[in-house]
Amino acid sequence: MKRTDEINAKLDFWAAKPQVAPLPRLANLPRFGHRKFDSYREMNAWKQTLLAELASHGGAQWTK
Amino acid sequence: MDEVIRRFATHRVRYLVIGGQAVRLAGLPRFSMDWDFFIPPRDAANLRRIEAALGDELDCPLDALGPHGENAIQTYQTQWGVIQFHLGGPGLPAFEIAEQHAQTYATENGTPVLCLGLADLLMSKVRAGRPQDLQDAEFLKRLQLRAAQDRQPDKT
Repeated sequence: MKRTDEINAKLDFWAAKPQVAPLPRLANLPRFGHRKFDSYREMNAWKQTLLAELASHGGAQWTK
Repeated sequence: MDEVIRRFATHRVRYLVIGGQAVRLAGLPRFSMDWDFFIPPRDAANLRRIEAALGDELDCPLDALGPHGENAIQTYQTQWGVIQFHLGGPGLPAFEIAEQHAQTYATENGTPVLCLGLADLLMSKVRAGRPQDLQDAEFLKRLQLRAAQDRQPDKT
């Protein structure tokens, strides 16, 4: 295994020279209306449902 | 999302970027499908400034935090991506305290962004405790260590 395969080595490397990586856009997120949550548990449960729906449509498609 | 940040600046919105995007702006290459903004939980004027800044992109007005923690997280899908407003959360200090420790980073396009300070961000990630949060925390600990080393006087 190369040293660069290890996550701790990667974290060391990134922390030594922090750079902002360009953020791709998620092109195929299902449409939804506003949501209001009273707790992180509620929000995380909803997000899991959203991600499951995304996965059922072939997974996330990232674009520039 | 630079457009949102610029609009917030124009409308003098009080906010701090938290979560995965804050970690990305600190230098960790990672994806995140949403932008998380920590905002003061009961500053009604600030909520109205956010609504003015984002206009019709918000399909429902923002609400202040309720007495029993209602509306702690409010999520919107906008043309710029998913935006989540956090009116508090695990490991987050009071907004006024966090605001004093805020750190300014720049997006990949050079737009200045106000983010949660390094120590507060680390605490929030440790408290959130999901696997991706703990990996973010490991990165932030390294940044904190490097910052401390940089502050030490040269012993040579």
